[in-house]
Amino acid sequence: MTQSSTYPATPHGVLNTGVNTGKLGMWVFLASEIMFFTALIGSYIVLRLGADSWPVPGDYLAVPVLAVNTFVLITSSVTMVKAVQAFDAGDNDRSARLLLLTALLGCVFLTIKLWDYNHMIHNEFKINTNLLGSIYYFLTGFHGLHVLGGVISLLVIRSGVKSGKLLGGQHFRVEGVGLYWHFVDLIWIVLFAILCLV
Amino acid sequence: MSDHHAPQSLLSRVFSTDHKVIARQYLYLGLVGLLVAGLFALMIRWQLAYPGDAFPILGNLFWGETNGVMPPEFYNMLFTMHGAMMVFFAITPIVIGAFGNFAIPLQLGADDMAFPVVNMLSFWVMFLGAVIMTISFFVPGGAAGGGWTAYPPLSGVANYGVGHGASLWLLGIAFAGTSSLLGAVNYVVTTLNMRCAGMTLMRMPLAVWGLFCTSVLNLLWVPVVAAALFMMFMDRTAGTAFFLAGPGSLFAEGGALAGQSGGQPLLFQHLFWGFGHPEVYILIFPVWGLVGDLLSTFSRKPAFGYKATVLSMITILFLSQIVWGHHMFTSGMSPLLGTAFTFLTITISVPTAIFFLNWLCTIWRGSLRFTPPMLFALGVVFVFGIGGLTGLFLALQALDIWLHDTYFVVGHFHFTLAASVFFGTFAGVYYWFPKMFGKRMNQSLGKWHFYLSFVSLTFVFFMMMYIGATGAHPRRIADPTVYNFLGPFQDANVLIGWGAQFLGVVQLIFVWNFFTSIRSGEPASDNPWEASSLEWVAPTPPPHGNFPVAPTVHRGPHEYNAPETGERGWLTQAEPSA
Amino acid sequence: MERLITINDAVTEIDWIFDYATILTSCIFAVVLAMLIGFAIKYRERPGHKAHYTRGDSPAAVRMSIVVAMLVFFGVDISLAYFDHHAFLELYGNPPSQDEATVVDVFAKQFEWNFAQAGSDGEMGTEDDIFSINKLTVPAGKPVLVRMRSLDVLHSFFIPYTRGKQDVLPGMTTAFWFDPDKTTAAARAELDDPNFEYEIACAELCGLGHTTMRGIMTVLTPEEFAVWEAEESANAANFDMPEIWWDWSLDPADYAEEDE
Repeated sequence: MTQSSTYPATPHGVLNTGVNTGKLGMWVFLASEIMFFTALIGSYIVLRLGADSWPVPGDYLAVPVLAVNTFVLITSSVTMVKAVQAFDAGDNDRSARLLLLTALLGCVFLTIKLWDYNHMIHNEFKINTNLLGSIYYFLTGFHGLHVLGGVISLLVIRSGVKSGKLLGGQHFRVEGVGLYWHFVDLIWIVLFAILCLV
Repeated sequence: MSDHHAPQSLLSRVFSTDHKVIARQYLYLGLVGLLVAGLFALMIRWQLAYPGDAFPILGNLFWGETNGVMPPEFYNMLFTMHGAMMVFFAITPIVIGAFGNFAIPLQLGADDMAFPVVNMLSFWVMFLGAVIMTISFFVPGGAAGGGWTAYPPLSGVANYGVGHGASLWLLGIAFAGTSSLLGAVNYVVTTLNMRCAGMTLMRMPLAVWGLFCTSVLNLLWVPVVAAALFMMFMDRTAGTAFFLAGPGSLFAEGGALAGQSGGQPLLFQHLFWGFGHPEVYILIFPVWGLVGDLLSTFSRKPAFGYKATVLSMITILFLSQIVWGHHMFTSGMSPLLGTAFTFLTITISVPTAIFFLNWLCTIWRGSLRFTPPMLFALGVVFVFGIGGLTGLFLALQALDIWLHDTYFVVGHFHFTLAASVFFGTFAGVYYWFPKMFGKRMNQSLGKWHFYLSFVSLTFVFFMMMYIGATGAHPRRIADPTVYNFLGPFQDANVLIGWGAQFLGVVQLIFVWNFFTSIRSGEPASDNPWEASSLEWVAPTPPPHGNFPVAPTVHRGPHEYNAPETGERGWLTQAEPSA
Repeated sequence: MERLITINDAVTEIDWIFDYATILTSCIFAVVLAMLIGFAIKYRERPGHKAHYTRGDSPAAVRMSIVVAMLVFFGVDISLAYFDHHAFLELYGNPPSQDEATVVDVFAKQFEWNFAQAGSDGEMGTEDDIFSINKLTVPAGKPVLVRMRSLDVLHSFFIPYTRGKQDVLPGMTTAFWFDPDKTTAAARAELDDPNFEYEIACAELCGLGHTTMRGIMTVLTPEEFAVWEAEESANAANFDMPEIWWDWSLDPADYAEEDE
């Protein structure tokens, strides 16, 4: 087996754009992710502008809890940056620890998220209660799935970093997961702002 | 590059990551989809030719209680599944899946796609989607019957007569979309990053340019329709009301949909056509590119105005994203917006005109070889000419308010989407078959296939436009005899019906030719067409890894009869000048 | 085959634009076809004939492309858009005011058109309102303003003789208007067909009964209409108006004021 069937090769050493293939793929993928969330957020805006009345978000959503969650996710972005830096510096152990920490913070986020859902459903605020409920569960649900995907990728990449299988030359794999994680983080900040604060 | 001979277990052949194997898998899936969706079309036309009569064969089997007459709900399922399967499980897998997978790495001189595993996943995700679509026929209530556009509220809740098949339909299309998305990431990155030495962007064959533009549109707009489909799925299953408005009795207190209100049906149309209009270019770009290459190769001279063609394609890529409103002139959208959309839409005719100019100038003063792929490519120029020009009618707001939802629209988009893409499909299959399977197809059968298809297909779709424009024949009605004003046009429906059956029978020539050629066709040489793009440099059929020696590109994709080619009149892109 | 008759002369402008576009595009297509066939015959491969090498990126070729682009843009696009916009403004630019028009409220549902008219007193929502299913009666000589709402799914109100249609949606009010100049009787005389009726079709797929969602419009002379209206109004109380029709108000935004 050549590298081509296991991981993107740069055939015959050609790499036309000068950007690593894996990293380019991640950017292209994120462009399409942005369109996905743009469609969702755009729909939210259209539905809200067209509605006769709109409930006050604070009446339904646990805004302080979500603010805490925002803080958790921002923190995880910081640890992600540190993890990439450590990996670049060749310190695989430290990088693996930081990646694990990032994944754990992601898990904390998801746990709080699930608690929040549970709490709201308990308070009779469900996906079919009103448009706010539909949009809240739908948008944050899709975001939650993205976080879950991110946590899994983090754990996979961590095992590679820890065992030393990933070396400096495969920098883009850690960086790619990092890009994705920052993207998920950014989306949450936007969602938090437009769902809870406006 | 030499150790491409891993042991081949059955599993590794089925779940292969080799782009050529995946291309063949896509081709088979697409041909099956084409067959099934084509049969649906024949049934639609038979029903419209003889409404109220017992339907042959199926009538006795399924519809005993109506004396064999097709029930309207089945008719609705037919045209819904015909449209959806043709677009997502026939054209997409063949033109984008099969051709894209086969041509991009080979024509760029790469050993495979950028992400072979993602590539394999992309096929199997689409396969799953096709399985889900098939299952949807067998759930209670049958398959989706709300039209391939799936407008809510009809498709948005089960209570209006479109059963649970529609929920599965949404999932099936979402799977097909995910597949397109994974494919598009691969195509874009491969095109940008995996070109062999010397293969600059402006030396890529036009087919690769077409597939690249297609992939960009797929990347940007498939997520948008996916969002809309998921929202509708929630409306159907979780009790949300993204696309449900209004106070019918179902919405009143105690009604089945109590509380499900406040959404906007029009929002779905905007999201759907936001994707839907780019989608028609998603499907046609690869064909345009391929036609440019074929006309050049079989005229033995370079594609005329290569740069202008590429520029036109990119211009259309941008324009196609801001014209979706011309599908919605009668929808209740603001008339002012309509005027803007009219203007933007007709502007597309300018780059399209450049396309035609370049195609015609390519064959001008050439030396034309009328092989089956060339005939089909010339056929595309003809049918897309009709399709494109009738598009002008429908871009005009006031005229569209008259023609919208009539058979004029059906005829128009079948000229562009069915006839052009269908001819492009066959052009591609006849062209690449020798490289794909190492055998040649029967050329005279191929020509007969073209001539007979061309005549019947043009007749069928032209008649559709005629009954639409003259008789205001509405779309999607199961029985034209309900309306008095359609009385004079029933003969035309009968003619279209028989024309369509003839077109269907003619395709058997292709099926026969395809399978007998795979089994016992004449062995093909490496470059039977004397073409210059890189896939013809690779051995036939290309091994895993494609090129024994990495090619280096010295010239553009179609430098036929250039001075440097000498007496022979052609050199491949990889051959240095003498 | 003859084209469907029109309900007034103004809408023949749509037919005119269709013909104009047909002629224009046919000319273009004839040129394309002539080149396609001509080149295919003239430049077929044969002994002694060799392709002429040209890449089409010379200044002359670029100039030709620009000329073709300009011709298409100004000769075809702009002229079509100009005439079309003119027709659009003429037919759909000025909705008639409710005072001068015959106002018809349409409640579309699977699979019937429900029509409501004000009756003799000219007031909507009173005892003598006229209701009918799939049968619309209007007087000739003054514009008809149709205000439409759907009780369930999308429908599309399509009268082929007006060369126009308008979707009907739940949750919003859409409007459509036309001038019925030709009475049903006049149309019958013109066509020499005593059974002719103006038909109303549903043009947007609305479910399994979509095909049969057909209405009949009768256009009477103003005098005949007055008689018809008085008769129907007198019998109006017999009609049981479904409550649900009035559960929600007209969208006040555009064409219609509230009728209370």
